[in-house]
Amino acid sequence: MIATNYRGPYRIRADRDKSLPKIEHPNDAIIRVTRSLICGHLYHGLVPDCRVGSVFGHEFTGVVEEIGKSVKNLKVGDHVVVPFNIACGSCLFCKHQLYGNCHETVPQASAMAGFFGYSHTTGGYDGGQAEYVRVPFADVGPYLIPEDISVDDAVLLADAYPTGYQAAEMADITEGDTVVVFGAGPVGIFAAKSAQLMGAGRVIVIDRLEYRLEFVRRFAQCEAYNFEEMDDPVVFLKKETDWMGADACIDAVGCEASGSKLQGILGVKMKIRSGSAVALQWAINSVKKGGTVSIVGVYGPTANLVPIGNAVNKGITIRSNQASVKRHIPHLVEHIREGRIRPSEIITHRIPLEEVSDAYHLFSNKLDNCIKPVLIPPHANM
Amino acid sequence: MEQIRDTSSIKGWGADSDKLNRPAHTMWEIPIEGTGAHWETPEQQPGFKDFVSIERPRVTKVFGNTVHPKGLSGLVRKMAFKKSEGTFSHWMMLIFADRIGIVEGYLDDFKQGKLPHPLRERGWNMDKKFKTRRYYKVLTMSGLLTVGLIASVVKLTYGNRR
Repeated sequence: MIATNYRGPYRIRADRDKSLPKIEHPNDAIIRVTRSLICGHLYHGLVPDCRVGSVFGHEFTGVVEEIGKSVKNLKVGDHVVVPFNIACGSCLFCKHQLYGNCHETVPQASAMAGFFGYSHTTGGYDGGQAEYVRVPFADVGPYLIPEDISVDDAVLLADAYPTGYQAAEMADITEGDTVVVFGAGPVGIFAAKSAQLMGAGRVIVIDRLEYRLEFVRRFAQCEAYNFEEMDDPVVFLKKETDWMGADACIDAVGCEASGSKLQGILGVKMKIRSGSAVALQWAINSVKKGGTVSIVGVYGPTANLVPIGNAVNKGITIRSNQASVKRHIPHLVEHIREGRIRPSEIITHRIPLEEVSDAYHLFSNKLDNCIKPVLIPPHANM
Repeated sequence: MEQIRDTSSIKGWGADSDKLNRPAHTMWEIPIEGTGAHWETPEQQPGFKDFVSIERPRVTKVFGNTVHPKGLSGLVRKMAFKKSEGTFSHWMMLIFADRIGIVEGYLDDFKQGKLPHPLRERGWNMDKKFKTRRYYKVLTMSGLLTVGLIASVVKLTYGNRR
């Protein structure tokens, strides 16, 4: 079958000779992929234990082709969206709906839950940038796509939209709050929109790419500013918030943030810190005393340069987690149905799976005003 | 004071103002409808051929099973997994193993009769379309480097014979 093949940082290709996945556990399903989205962190080689030969892709939809003997909740032919986290449904964390923290899916690490196509630090599972993919615990994760929801909207329910929503939820927004979102990438865009749904009085997005700022202004009906046009984003935000700081700040950037040469050299180039934590540094410094910082940006497992002393002195609450996607999907489907949001608007490019190298380069370098490209396998309709 | 903004034109504004309506308003809630699991403990997936974190007592019930450790990178990974996830050396060894894996990846390609194409794998077609200047710069530099290498090899080979 055709599947992506990671060859090292910034190098990926589509091979045609990958073996078909097979049922390895009684609760496995084999899914024929219909849509798969692209995300950049692995491609940049920032996540440890990302092995050459891996199949990427943790956001995908597909049709059930085969099920294991214990699968009860799915049948062959079902069209499903598959949450990016693999969850057993029965460990301490899953029982409490913390599906992003499942403890039965990653032998190689204890902090992470299993993710599709996301290094051996998250279990070494092949991802959905392929024609077919093995889905463990098929009775727990996959969600049947309702007939009135398009597959392009559904695929964004696998990660980006629930992650943005949970970012806003963890920010503990109360009606009228001022919320600052760092990052106008897909997750930041959804976090800004979700903050509006939660009744924020003012939503401010900070990024450096004009086309993304323009997009989020329209999509989330919020304010958006370019930090490259400011002397100091923290001072700018203080001025904008009556010198008190925002009620809540959301870090939707993670380890590849621009804005500090020191962080960039140590974290991104030399990799002796787990990425550049500039957005988190700004979030801690921009939030009001007693406010909340919500982190959904991806960071590596080692240490980062963050002003933890300021966090202590300001008495802020820091909340962070991988999204419990399964928990959010039914609620987010309702928002789509009610016409409050149309997630597929962020899809800017539709690219055949065979051209995955081009798709990653386009996304990674933000060419052609790219926000989110979707990969489409040859058997699926464009 | 900050001015109060008019939110009436914002589509869906305030639909989730009530925190009780948010899906994760209590972090540790046990769902009434269940999680989908119909087992107390899941069955064990067989055939594990990888490393287990020393912060775990056993292999988890399921795991990815396609890219197993091998070669020199596998040896470095083996050393890494003797350290806990809380140590810097654990992660740095894994990143080092990943980089060794890149070289092993080239060798595997050659063994399988595949000719790797680093520029194509980096999606340089997109540069041709959207960053034409950079594309031709890389092309020229690569061309000059190749000619230079060939010239050096020719000079070393034939120069020594004289």
